[in-house]
Amino acid sequence: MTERAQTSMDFLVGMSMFLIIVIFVLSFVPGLIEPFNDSVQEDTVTVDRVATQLSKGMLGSTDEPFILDAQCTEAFFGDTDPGDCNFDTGTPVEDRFGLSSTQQLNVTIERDTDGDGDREIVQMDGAGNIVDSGGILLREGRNPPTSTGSVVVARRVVYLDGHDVSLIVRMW
Amino acid sequence: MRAQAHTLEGIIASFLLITGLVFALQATAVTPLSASTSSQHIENQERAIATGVLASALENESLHVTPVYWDTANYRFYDTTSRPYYVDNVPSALTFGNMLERTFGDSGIAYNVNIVHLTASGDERTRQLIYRGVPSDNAVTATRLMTIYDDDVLYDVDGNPTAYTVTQAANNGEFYMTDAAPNSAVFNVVKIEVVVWRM
Repeated sequence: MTERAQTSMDFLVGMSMFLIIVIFVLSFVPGLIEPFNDSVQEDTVTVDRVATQLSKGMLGSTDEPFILDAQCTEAFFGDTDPGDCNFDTGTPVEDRFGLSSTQQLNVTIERDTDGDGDREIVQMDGAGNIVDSGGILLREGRNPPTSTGSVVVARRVVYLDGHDVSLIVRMW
Repeated sequence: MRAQAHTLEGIIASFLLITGLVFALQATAVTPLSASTSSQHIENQERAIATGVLASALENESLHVTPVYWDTANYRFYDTTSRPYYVDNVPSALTFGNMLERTFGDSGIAYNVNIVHLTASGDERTRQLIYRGVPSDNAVTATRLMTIYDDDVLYDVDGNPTAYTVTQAANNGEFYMTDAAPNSAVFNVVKIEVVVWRM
């Protein structure tokens, strides 16, 4: 019997345990800080604000949230004279909400008109009525990119010309 | 003695690393394991959408029909089958139910609809209208208050008004609500409650 016992065995146990823990910690830490370097956070808050602003005031009146005014809605999406609505037209849609220049916006009003389960963009005839075809498409802003997953979406259900329709705001 | 020191050293080093990790976990408010702001976003969306549906239903008057779409002969909502509430087949005459189904049904979002009404002594009673199961911890609720007057009428199975008032039905014991304010023109105040959660 020497005094040195099973050096290699003990060394193996201690070292492998140490290495396993090091690998575990290294793989865990990036996930830990992930929520902080995610810039989508800012867009998430902004897109919610835009949707709330549109559905609770801009396109209707603040007395009756979620009930849209047909004339104001047409003016907003058709870029026509807004009259006494709560917004100005003729500027890019991002400017109407005071967004920073790096954020881009797309606003649509959609509804399942033909009953196939998919929503289509609603069209209006310019006189406050929803029509099936040939009207103003209720779509404003650039088309969202399809190649990136960082488009955040906010959805509201609003009432427009006797129908419950979806107001969808996309931001990237 | 020298040998066991290797094991001990490895264990102590690992322990230090784990302690560091635990400390970092405790120091951060938001981790991937906690309820994050993105699920908060989803809850905000669901609540806003449900509120929008309630506002739309109030505007097209289908919300008024909802609590009085009542089959007095069978003491239940019309066309409920084995249970006193709707599970998946909401009748087409119940417009509010169809609006909810259009909004949430095809997006994999479950919802319950409760009608909370008052008793004559002022207690709240809940009657389920649509029941899809027990809500999850992340469920959100949107409510809308509505007044029912003594001379409001019940609706028939096709969603048309009948001549039978809620007061008559309640006096005959055929209605789930009672007159909460017997000495006034108000019959009851109901709270339509939509509970929404992701399946």
